[in-house]
Amino acid sequence: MEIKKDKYSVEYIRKNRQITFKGILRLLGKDEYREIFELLTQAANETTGLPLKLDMSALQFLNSSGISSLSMFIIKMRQLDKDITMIGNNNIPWQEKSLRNFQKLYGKVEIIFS
Amino acid sequence: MEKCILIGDEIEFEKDIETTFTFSFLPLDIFDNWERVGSLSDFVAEYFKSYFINSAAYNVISTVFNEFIENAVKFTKNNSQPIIVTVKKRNNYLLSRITNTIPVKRKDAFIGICNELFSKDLDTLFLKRVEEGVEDRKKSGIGLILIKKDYQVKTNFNFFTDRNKINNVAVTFNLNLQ
Repeated sequence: MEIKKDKYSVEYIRKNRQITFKGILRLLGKDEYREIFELLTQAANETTGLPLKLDMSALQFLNSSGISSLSMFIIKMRQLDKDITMIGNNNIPWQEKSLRNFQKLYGKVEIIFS
Repeated sequence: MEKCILIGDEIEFEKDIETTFTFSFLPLDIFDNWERVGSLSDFVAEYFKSYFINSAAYNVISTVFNEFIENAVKFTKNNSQPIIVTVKKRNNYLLSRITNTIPVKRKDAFIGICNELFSKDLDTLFLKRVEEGVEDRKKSGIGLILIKKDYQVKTNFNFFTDRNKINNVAVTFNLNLQ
């Protein structure tokens, strides 16, 4: 399942329990992120036992509305008591600087830098 | 003229500037196509990146300007009134001032947000805002927190009334690219 636009794509591969973000995500506000949030929620509901993987390593930019929406998803995972692994890229400054914020929201977020 | 209200860090904006440029744009053009915020931010980053040795300069400049420009557009009073952006370079720093109109009814709320930024622990404030956002999707306001917390950007906010009695805010910031 994939959301594909000019500037970004978000792909969910169920058998790998993985969602891959690519490109530039700078949408107007949280409402604009609703479609992505719904895809994430679906993946969360379908994933049991092993962690859900969010591969952010090819996401060049994510604005604060995107970080806010992703934070809401992390809180949802916390409510469901499910594990998350985030794959980041420490050559991309926003990831190196801001990904750790998600761990502060939920201790079961594991961050791996590729 | 009404007395101005200045909140935030002390920033020397005028002296010892090596280069500068200024541009303005209309908020209505941004609302017509939100991707234009990114285009403006990328342009500033592309224009200034070669002054800095830091290989992350392009991405950091674009990220920081994107947040401040988004904020200016979202808080503006009049979509037909230009938002003015001045960028200056000094040593390993970029300094910028973004000036926009603000509606009277949102001025006090904005001042409250600014006061919180300089009086509370930013990690705690980030967590609080995110948790509030779960309850009310319209609430967010983490952009300025992230820029201060994760990018150590010095910032101040000057609220003033112009000669036409319109409320404005000039947001000045200092980005270290060493």
